[in-house]
Amino acid sequence: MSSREPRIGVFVCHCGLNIAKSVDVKALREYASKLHGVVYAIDYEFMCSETGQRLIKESIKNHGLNRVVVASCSPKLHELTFRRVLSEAGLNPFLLEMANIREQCSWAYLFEPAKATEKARHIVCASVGRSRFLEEIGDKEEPVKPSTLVVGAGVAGIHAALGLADIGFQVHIIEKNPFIGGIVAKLGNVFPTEDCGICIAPYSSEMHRKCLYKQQLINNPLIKLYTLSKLKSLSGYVGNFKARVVQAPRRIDERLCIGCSKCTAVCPVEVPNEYDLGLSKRKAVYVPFLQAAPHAYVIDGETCTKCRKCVEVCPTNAISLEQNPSTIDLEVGTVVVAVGFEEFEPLGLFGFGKNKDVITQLKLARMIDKKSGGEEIWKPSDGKPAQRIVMIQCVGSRDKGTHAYCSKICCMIALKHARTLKKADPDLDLTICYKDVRLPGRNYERYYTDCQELGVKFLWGDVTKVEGDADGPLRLDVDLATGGSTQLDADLVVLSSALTPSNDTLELSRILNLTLSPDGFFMEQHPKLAPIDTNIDGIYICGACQGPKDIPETIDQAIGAVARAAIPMIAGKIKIDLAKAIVDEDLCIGCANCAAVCPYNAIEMAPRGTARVIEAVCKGCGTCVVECPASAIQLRHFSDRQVLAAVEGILAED
Amino acid sequence: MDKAAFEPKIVAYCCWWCAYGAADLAGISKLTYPASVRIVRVPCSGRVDPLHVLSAFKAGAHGVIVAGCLKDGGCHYVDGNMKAEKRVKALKKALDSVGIGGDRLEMYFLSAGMPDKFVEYTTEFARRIERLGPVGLEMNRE
Repeated sequence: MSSREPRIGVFVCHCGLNIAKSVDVKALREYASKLHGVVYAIDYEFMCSETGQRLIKESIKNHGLNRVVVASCSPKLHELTFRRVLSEAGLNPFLLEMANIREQCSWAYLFEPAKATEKARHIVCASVGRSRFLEEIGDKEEPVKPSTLVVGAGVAGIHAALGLADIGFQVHIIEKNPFIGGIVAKLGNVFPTEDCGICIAPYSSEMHRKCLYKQQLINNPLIKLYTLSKLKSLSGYVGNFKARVVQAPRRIDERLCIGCSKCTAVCPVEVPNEYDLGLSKRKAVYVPFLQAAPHAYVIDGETCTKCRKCVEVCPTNAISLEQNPSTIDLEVGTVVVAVGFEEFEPLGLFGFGKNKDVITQLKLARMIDKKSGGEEIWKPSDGKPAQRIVMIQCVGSRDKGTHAYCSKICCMIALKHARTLKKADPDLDLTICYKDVRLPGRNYERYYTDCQELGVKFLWGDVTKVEGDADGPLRLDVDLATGGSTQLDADLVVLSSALTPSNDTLELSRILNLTLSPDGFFMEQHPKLAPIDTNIDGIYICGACQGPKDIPETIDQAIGAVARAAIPMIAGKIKIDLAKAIVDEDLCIGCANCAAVCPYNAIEMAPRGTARVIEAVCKGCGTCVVECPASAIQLRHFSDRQVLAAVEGILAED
Repeated sequence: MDKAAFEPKIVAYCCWWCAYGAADLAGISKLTYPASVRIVRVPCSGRVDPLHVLSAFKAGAHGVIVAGCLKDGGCHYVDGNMKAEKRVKALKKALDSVGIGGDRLEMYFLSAGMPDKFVEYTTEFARRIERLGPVGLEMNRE
């Protein structure tokens, strides 16, 4: 009962000799017993032991204590323990104050007992002073909606969506492109199993080579897919998010389209096909590749001339050229972000962008995927066979000028392509210029040994220049790591270009209020202990949006995201302790300084103009308190009064 | 007062996630630092109010430390440490103008895994305050 006059009990722990060796615990107890408000003080060998805990509980009852100060180890170690003790004795757990006389006292002044004892007095005096102003703090429960918004329908998002639907949750998955599959769908065969990138079986299937995207995602009654869609805003908090999604018009009704392709046949507009990185053409009404999902055509509004030929031939009247963007409002309990990566466009590096025969690995993947069995890789400039191919590693990675990080999968991609090409054409002259070859995954080393056996040449050094004549080959200058330099001729130069955050990452981080790491990827809450959680409760990240990753790792994380998101949804509720900021509406002048400074958007302005803290969102940092010109907002458990009581106590003369 | 015998009182506002943890780890590592450094726990360095700093001086502190998480994403509360830094900078000027001296206030950034930095910073600051001596302005005089 906080309103009652404080009756403080001080419990001085010896911690064996950890404290008692340098702090005179008897003298400390004696000192504490005389402090203002203290009605009981005792010392004991181990306060955290069962006996010690019982001692505290009994003392609370016998002496009518309504504040408890435990002078022992760091609260980081036992604050929760002793809070539980208070609860069990019928006291509110926030009426506990710990005096850290071990880590911050006895251990720091191990051989100076006088100093340690004096310092322990200051610390206990501060805790007793602060405890006088402690207040009871309760908690409350909020329901959690059993549904998830998944942002991005690449391999990570798809696996997360499937997993959550498997448990029985409603999933809304949004994808900015007209078709799902992300970059993986462009890769052709993918390591380490060399299966088709668009057909990798999800873990929930019987590992048959079912088309993942069509069969599993589209037909799942619990999964609602929104293509051509972007997240516009997100408000609320874990358990109760409100998302606004804007969907661009497909102009073809997915439910009516039967995929007959008559529209494409009559469409007069031809543009480069983005799916093939311009290697092929598509019409203004199109599917980018045969297995694309959803298998409904789309009309590209930017290039369509509205000649209406497609409208005339469509047998199901599925086409509506005048369709407008639509807004979709969703209510979800959790959010999974899986927006993946982009391949870095190495403009200006090694002749890329200037010379058509300098390409990236992603384009090579499309070329390998498109060519028929016996066909050779060709030079994009003139379509003639490329007999000498040089790959350059670490383009835009491990490089201070572009990106300092290792992109992790480019070595494997280069080796995968090299192996495929050499197997198809043993006479091909293929050189890989590398800084290091990094292949840490299981079954990855095999690609290296295979390539060596197949006669792929590995050149350890830095390519300093790529030059091309009008008709002649490309000429590369290489500084060898072993000393000296050499020159190479090549018909085709393939750059193993970095993985960078997807274009929407920055915008999305602002909409979701997520932290980015210095390299621009989404930041996990903790690299080891919370790799999928973020700074916002209820929002999880998986896949390459968190950093470069291969497919196995991406799927690991997606499954992890399923587990993390499922936890609050299975519980159906979250418990929120109310040691959060609180507004005194009578004092609030409605300036909204607090809302502006809050790093979590946890403060909203109520209809009558005063600030209101959303307790489920507030994390209790207290920065809003400092900004309030009217002293109308306080942080419970760290109010000004409580902080100042500690300061006055710690400075008090003995 | 004999200057050599001057034993300063220093309040160190330590954020719970990093600076407080670093101080704990200093003890765990049996590292020592001046006993004049008296730690006050705050959830975040962004919680430290100019009022807290001034009140510490009023209550007899000769120096005040605000210690938060590392810059560039180290803050548990996104950027509370950066807000604290701004406030500390402004406050240093204010302390100069009222005669306490901005040198008596310092902000440090460290992670929970940097006990050596905690020791280095607090020791360095304590030496500085010892050199500066007692606060010239007697704030408590009515």
